Amino acid sequence: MTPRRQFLAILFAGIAFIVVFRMIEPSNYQIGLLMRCMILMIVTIGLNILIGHAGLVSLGQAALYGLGAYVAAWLAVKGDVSFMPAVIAGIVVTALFGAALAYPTVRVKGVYLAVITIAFGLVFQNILVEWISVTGGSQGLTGIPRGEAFGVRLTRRIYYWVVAVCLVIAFILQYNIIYSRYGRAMRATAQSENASRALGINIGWIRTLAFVLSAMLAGLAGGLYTFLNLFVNYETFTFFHSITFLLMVILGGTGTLFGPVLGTSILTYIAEVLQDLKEWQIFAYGMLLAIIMFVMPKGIVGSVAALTQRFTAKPRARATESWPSRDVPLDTLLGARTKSTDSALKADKLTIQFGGLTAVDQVMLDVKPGTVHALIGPNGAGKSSVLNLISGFYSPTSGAVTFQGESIAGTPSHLLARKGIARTFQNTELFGQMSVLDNVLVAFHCQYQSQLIGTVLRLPRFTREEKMYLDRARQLLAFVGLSDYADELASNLPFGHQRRLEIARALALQPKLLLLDEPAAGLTHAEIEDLKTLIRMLTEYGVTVILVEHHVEMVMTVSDHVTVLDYGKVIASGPASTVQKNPQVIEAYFGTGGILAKPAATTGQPA
Amino acid sequence: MSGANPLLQVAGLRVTYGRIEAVRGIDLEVAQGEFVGVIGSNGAGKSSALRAITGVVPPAAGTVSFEGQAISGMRSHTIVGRGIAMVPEGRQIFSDQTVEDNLVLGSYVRIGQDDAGVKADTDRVLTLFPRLRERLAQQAGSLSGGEQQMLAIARGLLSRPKLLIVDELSLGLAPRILEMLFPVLVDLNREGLSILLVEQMASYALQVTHRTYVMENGRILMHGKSAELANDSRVLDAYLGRHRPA
Amino acid sequence: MGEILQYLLSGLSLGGIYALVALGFYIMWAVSNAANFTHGDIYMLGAILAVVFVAMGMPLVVATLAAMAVCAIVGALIERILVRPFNKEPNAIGWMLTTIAAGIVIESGATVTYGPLGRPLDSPLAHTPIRAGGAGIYPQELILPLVAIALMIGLELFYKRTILGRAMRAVAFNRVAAGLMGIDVNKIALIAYALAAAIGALAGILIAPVIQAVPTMGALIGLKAFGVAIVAGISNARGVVIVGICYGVIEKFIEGYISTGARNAVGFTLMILVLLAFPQGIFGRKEIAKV
Repeated sequence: MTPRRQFLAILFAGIAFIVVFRMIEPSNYQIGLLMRCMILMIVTIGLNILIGHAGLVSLGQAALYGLGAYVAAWLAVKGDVSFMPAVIAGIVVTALFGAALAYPTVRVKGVYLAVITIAFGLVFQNILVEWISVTGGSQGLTGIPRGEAFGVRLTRRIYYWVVAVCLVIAFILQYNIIYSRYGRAMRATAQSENASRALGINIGWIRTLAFVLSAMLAGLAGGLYTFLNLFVNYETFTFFHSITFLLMVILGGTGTLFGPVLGTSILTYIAEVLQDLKEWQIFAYGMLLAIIMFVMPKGIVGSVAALTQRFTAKPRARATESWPSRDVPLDTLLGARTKSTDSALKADKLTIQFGGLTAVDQVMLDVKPGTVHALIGPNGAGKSSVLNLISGFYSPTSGAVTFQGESIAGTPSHLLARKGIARTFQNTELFGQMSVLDNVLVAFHCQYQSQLIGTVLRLPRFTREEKMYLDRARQLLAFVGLSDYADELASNLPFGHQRRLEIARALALQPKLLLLDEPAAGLTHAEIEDLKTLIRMLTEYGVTVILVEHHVEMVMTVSDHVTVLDYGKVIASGPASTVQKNPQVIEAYFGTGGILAKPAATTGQPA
Repeated sequence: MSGANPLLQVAGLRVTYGRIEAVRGIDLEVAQGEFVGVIGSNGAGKSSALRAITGVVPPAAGTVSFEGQAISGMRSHTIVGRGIAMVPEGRQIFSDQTVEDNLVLGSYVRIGQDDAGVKADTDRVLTLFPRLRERLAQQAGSLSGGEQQMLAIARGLLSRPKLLIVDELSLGLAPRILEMLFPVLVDLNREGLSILLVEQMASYALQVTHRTYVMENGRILMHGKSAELANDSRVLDAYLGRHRPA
Repeated sequence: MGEILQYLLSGLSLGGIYALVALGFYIMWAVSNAANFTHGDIYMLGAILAVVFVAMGMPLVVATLAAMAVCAIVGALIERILVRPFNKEPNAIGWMLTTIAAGIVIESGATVTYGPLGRPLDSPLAHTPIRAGGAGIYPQELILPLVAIALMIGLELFYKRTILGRAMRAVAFNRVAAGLMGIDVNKIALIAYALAAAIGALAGILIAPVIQAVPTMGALIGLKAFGVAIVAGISNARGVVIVGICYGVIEKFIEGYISTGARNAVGFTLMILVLLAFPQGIFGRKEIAKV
């Protein structure tokens, strides 16, 4: 089932359930339980975007939920603000806090972030209890008036529909974000920061977006809770509740559409059943969390999906086409032919030091447009460091880099990618848990014109663009001969195919300058021949290529110009044929040969 | 080429990462007292094969036996205890500890059992690499690349291995230093130590080893006497960066 | 003047707890890049086990050792069952969730069996306070920072001088290379978690005579101590102990000069700010991003 069909099926089944449930005249208790459950689902749907897609764990989600609730409650009680503006204010304030919480994610990850979110949750709870004049202290805020919207008093019967509509909106929002360039970018940054930056994705921005979205949903849920319960106090928003939210998402299945909804329903139900157990209830929660982690770390939905996949999907041989394909016209892939300027890239006394080590030392480069410029040298000579400097992954200690006449030294990598500098990585950095097709689609992230609103609302332009880039991605896969692998996970590709995919992904940026870091490593002779053909096709088209490579034969046949580095310094630079004869190069690169003073004739060494 | 009593025997070894097959069924032998090389380009599967032999990753299939006993599937600390030492790719010395501490860790499996032997061997490796003796109390991370490689070799020797495996001796080192280190391996081998050398710089490996396996794309492409392979045109083409001799 | 001295002394005592618990995080982190995330509950477990053992008629010293031993076993089990299987990938966080689960189970299990109320642990050092310059403190409280510093020095010597210590550092630095030295990496991790748990338990037992042992005493301390370890950079014992003791003192001064209620809010906010300024922690080393 395609994700779209799954989405629609769940959506309509869910709506049907909500309607039917209401019609069978449930008891007040039952209807209240379902409303609470729906509100919690809104929180977990938001948390799922954060954990399941952006790969960021928040252990303070209950505090964001509480923030929305308290803001709405405070406005309603103290400011006599009505339902809609109070809830919206709650969402806005929560979103701001979400953005503030996201700020550290640019710098810290994993467990550090978890600590910050825990600390945030504890600070929030502390303030709720202590700042009595505003929060009512441990008594909380009482006497919240029942809401009114559009002149209608929100009785429990009507409020049921309000909550249901909000849940449906949250669910649709989740789908529309996940299956868009934003969702792809979130998953990409979770899987490889380096590759994401190289594709022009601003990691900080994407993570902030994920945080803000999840905070907004938590804020919305909080506001809804306030006007359902008509009373708020700190006990609903503790660290334990943050853990419960996490548990709901993991139980259902992180990163799945239906997971948070399912996990929330099950746990809410279990909580009701276990209510009489008091302290044992918490004990059972803990055991449950541990057991889930053991038995099905992918959650219910994830595990069921994996099982059905195993039993239904027959492994089939996939056809690998030869590449680069001549059937795909390059101008559809690479856009307009690059106009030649007199220099594509210049480095002037480029230097970088790590600690005391000078990895790149006063390197001068002048790369002509539409040529292949190779960087060679022994291991550790600084070739990859030069590449990282050019692509913005390192900032030079001193020296200048100009790209098409513009100074780019110190410009962050994602901005350089948008200017047309694409790269591959020495140890291929694919988004392993994304499909082959999605890997290429991620690279179009910065070319979309539709913005967030247009994407969420699925405006016509978004649909048009999505289709256009899908076509382009398929063409790129055809170009590198991987069409048949489109729906396979990237990590399942054989090594040579991974290299192809990485190049296809880099080409999606329509680069003016392509940096290839040891593209031939691990390839067979035949694959290397294909690679050479590709490089020639690209340069004929006007793309400039900088090639870092160990494979000497390839370097010598494909390069227009070769620069040799040793200990971070340029020791020779010129046409391949000249460099090859330079004695200094021979010594640095090939060794002098006479290790055991054997006669050169038997060792086959260049003297 | 197989000796009567191969020290290390690898048969049908496969190594996979997920669905990627890095090593696709290789057979390899090191006889007692032999110096064997494995050459091949970056990504050919050489290091993956070594990782499986030394128990860093479990092999997906195939067997590894050492002194006639199967060691495949054992974890690396057990394998080291059996008498295989590894000088890992990129040295991987404990750079936050002193040179002396690194040497102590090298003798970890013998401590408490053969303290006198450890002392004598430590003295021996320090005679072999006098520069390490001068720097005993220094942080290992402050050593130069060549000195770090010496430390890595010395550390490997201190477990008193029957087989020394060296992964990419040349990595990041200048020819000047390599021309000092390779002869040390040759000498160790002449004194009776069996050595398996994995090396990207084929030109060096072919000069020091008795036999060489050429790996490509996870398979062994050919193997034979090093002196013969050094003149094989296919090897010259692919790994020595030379065009066919006219 | 007397006030300041009082804050300082009780801050040192509180800081001693943070330092001891944080030391455990440091020990665990070093060998596994993970930790028992609810180490605070081990601290609590140590305290209530000591109370229970004394009630069973054991002398205080024996009860202390017995409680530490039980906690060490629990720590080792947590490593084996809840951390190791969930810490296979470089940035795995599964261990965080499983150990949080364990923490919930331990705390609620303790509440159910031991009861929610605090019970005192009698110690001769908590009978008469020492008075000086208008401040008063039990000798028992002063032991904490001293034990923390002594353990820190002991740990540093252990890491530098003993084979096991060197092996632990080797495992911390590079697991694969350590395995290639013949070091059983898993065994080392197990020992480290047991050691951390024993130290955590000791902290709980040492403070129990002053504050009474209660099942809820650990969770918050654990989280704060983890924050302390992270803020210190979690990479050296000295940094962890210094930051731990300072944090305790800062908390007492916040209590004194702002309000008791503001303690956690201000303290945690401070932690967040420091982490923003020093993402690697105050004493942490910056890693060069490898591309």
